Amino acid sequence: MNRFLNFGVALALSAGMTVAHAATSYDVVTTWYEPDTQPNNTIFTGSFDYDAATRTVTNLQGQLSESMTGMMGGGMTWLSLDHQLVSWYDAALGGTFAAAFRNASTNTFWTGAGGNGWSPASGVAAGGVYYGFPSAGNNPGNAYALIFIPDDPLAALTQAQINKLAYADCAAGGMMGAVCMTGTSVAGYGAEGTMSGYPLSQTITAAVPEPETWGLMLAGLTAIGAIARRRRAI
Amino acid sequence: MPAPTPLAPIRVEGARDESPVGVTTLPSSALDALRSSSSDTARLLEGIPGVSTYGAGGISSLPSIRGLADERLKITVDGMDLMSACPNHMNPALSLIDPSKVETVAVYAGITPVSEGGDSIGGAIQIRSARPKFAASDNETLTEAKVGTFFRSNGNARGHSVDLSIASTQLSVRYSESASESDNYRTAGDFKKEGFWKQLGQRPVAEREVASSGYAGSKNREVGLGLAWSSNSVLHLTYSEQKLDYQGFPNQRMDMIFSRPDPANPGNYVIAENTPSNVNRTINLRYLGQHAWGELEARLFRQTVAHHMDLNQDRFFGMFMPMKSDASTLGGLLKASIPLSPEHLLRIGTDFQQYRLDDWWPPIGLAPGAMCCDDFQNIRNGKRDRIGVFTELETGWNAAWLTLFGIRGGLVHSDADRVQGYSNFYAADAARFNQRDRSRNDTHLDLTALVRYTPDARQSYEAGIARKTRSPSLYERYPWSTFPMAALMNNFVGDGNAYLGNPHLKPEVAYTASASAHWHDEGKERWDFKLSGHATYVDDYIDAQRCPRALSAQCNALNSNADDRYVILQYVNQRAMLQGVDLSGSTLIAQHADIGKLYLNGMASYVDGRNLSTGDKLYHIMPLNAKIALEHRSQRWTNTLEVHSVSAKDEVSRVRNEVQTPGYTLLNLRSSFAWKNGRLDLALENALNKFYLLPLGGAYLGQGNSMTTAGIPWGMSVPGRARSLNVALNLSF
Repeated sequence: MNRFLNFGVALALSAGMTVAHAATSYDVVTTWYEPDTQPNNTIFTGSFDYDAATRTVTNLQGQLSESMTGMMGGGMTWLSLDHQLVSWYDAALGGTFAAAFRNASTNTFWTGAGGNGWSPASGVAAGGVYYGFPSAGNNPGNAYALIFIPDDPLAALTQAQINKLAYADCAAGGMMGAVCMTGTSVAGYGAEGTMSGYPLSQTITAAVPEPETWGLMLAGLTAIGAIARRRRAI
Repeated sequence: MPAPTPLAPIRVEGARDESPVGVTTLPSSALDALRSSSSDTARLLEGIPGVSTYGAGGISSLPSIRGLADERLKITVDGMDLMSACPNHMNPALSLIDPSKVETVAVYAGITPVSEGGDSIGGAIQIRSARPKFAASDNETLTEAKVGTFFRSNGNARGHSVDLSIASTQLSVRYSESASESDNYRTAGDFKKEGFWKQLGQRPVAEREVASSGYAGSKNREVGLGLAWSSNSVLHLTYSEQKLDYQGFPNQRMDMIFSRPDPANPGNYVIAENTPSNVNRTINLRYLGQHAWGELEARLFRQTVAHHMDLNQDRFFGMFMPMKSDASTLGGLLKASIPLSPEHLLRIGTDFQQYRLDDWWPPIGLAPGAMCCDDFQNIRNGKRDRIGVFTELETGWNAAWLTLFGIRGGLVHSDADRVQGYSNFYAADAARFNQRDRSRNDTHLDLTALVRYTPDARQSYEAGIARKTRSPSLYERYPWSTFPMAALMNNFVGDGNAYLGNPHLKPEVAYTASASAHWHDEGKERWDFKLSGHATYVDDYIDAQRCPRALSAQCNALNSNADDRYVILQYVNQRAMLQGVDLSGSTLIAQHADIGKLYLNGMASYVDGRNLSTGDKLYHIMPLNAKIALEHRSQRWTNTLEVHSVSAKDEVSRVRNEVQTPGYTLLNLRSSFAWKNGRLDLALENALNKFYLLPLGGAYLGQGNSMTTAGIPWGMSVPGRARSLNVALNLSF
């Protein structure tokens, strides 16, 4: 029983370590230049886990600035984007897209013009108008940031990859009448954002593990070491 | 030989040309045909050489004289110096009087005598409605009634007018009203760029429909009271009101339309149907008296304007941006004309104008952002007060020579209070504006010297030089936000760009020289030819520059360098030169006792305008244009075949990214039949259904998301009308 318990704990901890090994954590900062709201830009600052073997992105979440709410000296509103609802691999661009949403739904843009209601192309086609248009009461106030993770996550993005970064903000402080604030590029989606915003840069850095992560890893290593010693003793 | 039969003496009067130097007048009879073609009073002026009109709403064009337009002109309606109270000049003076009311038009296309007004540099336009009439004898009552109606097929424009008057020898009462409306007009070809931007309205807008060009519920009413207590003194009091439910502006980012909070949706607005978006009221009191020492004219008037703007639903379904302005003007004039001797006539007087303006934009939405949560104050407690004094000496040295010398001094004081934006997002711009001293005092000195030489009954020559001053308007000095959406809403020139005010602007000072020659037959019936040349140098001309980078981060390199998009501009003093020629003439080419007379009429205008400080061309200069008309007149019929040619506009203002327009030629056919009590006008305008772009029509912004610089593609001009069949019937009793 004792052996079984020890084995179970070790398995669980080592499984955790296996995940930690396969999916590395990263931090990301993506910036869209906003000519109309200078000096405030739209910035997404977040984190995600990336499995290089399967090229999958998980746990993308972060904060999106609302540049129209910004006071010149600070005080800008930030939206929490906690729901990673979409992700796909783009072989041509050599990397993985992922988008984190404010709501637990992708409903963002008006679907009267067709489209899936959230993708940047869909937003451009809909003139950046919110989902549920024309009733303002039906606007779910969604927002998202679409980032791109190259095959080598720490590699600098090419211009072609930057062109495909996008965001949308249909929450109250990011609205101008019925129009959401969006950021897209002409090269990527055929039009700049609704307030002329376009993607400027994205920086991905390896995440520095938090203290509890270090502790968990240490505990796992200790457990594995202990099991190994007992196995040799047996 | 029978005794000769005595004949009653026949008195023949001959006198030198008494009309003021440099003026062109159009009597009511000359306006009849023009009234049938437009409900826009400014367009009545288009037949005068050198005069053209800026495109705007259906009844709100802005006149331009020899390249100088809008507030550079002294425009009066029944003597009132009326002010536009709108950041987009949607309610200019001439929009406040219906064409059916216009009795006479006088245009100083050259140099305006100082007695006709100051604070302008480009000329003067004087529109008058009928003056009160009185019965000829005590036992007579004068009654008159006029009714009129019209229909124009393009845009389904329709309207009517009624004018009633009754008078004794001492009292005259008059009532008039008119109403008109129009749907959007159509053009003869496609002119819109591709994109989803044009599908954002509440309904589909056809490719050849000019969105936001219609208007509805335009109503003018006036009550006039005339009192003549002697044969030499008349007091005239009128009360006028103009209401307009809605007017679209295809070259503006807003429309004249009333919106109000949506009770079902807090924080949102809805369009208020059938509610006047613009209410203009005037009270005008005028005294004119002939005294032993000369003539005295006194006037006091007051104008109030309540003006509302928002986005009509041609542009964008469900998006709102309420903008409001309230303004009042108090003005007056005291002018004496004193014959010092048979040769010398002295005019001396003073005039004043006190203008107040509040321009604010209620918030939209419930969270801090672009348009929430306080009133945006575009101009708060704006003031522009002016006073002038003038003296002028007109001397008829003999039958051939007449001179006119004048001097006018003036003071203009303008100011505006501290402002705020919708939210703290605007705090830095507002703080920069609020920290400035915004009070300005301008001193004006105007000088004119005119001479007319009439050697005989077949020729006359006029020449003049002048120094004229104009102070900046409140909308040139005080709009303060560099946020593009806010700056885009300040644009009275219709080019689609965003404009910032400049409190440091100095008054424009123009130096003009003009000369004209007029040759004709003695009776001015068989032939007539007039040639005018003019040149104006303007010091501190108010042009635009890309907003300085030091001003705001939004005034960036992209804004400075872009040549194919809408940009942020700021008014700035520079130097400018305008010069050109105007030609007009007519000749009788055939006549027959049974068929009538056949005339060939023509006119042509050319003006070149350039900014001497930058080398750029001035904005909105009408290219070379000409009209040639074959006119047949018999007793009751007047038939006209008119060819109107405009050359390509390829000299454009680069700083404003003005768009070039190709040349075009239009054919217009007009016919009228007049009898004792009526007149029927028929016209086929643009008879060949030619597609053309208006050189002064401005940027096409009539549909799509107009609130950002990138919401509507740059590069489209407002097109002209496709063929239209116009009918107008006027009866008098």
